[in-house]
Amino acid sequence: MFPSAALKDIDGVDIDFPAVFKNAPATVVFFYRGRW
Amino acid sequence: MTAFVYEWERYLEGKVQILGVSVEPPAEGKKFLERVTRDCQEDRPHIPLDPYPVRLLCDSDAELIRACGTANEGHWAGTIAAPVTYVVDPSGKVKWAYVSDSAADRPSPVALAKAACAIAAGKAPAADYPGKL
Repeated sequence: MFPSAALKDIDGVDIDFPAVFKNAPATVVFFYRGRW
Repeated sequence: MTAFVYEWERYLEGKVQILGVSVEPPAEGKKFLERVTRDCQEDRPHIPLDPYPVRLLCDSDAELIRACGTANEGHWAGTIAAPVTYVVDPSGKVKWAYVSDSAADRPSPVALAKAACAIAAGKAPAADYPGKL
């Protein structure tokens, strides 16, 4: 199971895991390094 | 991330949402998004990008990154995310994953899109598009 966490998107909107997964029949989550 | 934009039609049809997570602050995420959008509009202007296919999230304290076991703690810039991709169903169950060996090692864009759309349709991903653990 995907862990729980409370994040914000780049516009400051709250995103709660795993509740966000209920918004779609499937969700791709990709982790990326950023500018490094 | 460009790969997600280029596969926009597949993801839209499959009603798949895409979330990108990094330790980057919002301003850097916005710059990244603008760069990808500009590249896409120059390279493939037929892709309307409405709705925008990717939502970027800020995990400044690496809370989720650590919880998923994808933290690269030894990087010179501090803790950053190792490049890992998951496909998750509405119950929060991970159905497909690709653990990259390096930042350059990413799943095939088509393979990932097909796997995600199959899962969205309640089917198993095709055997010829396996994940990588």
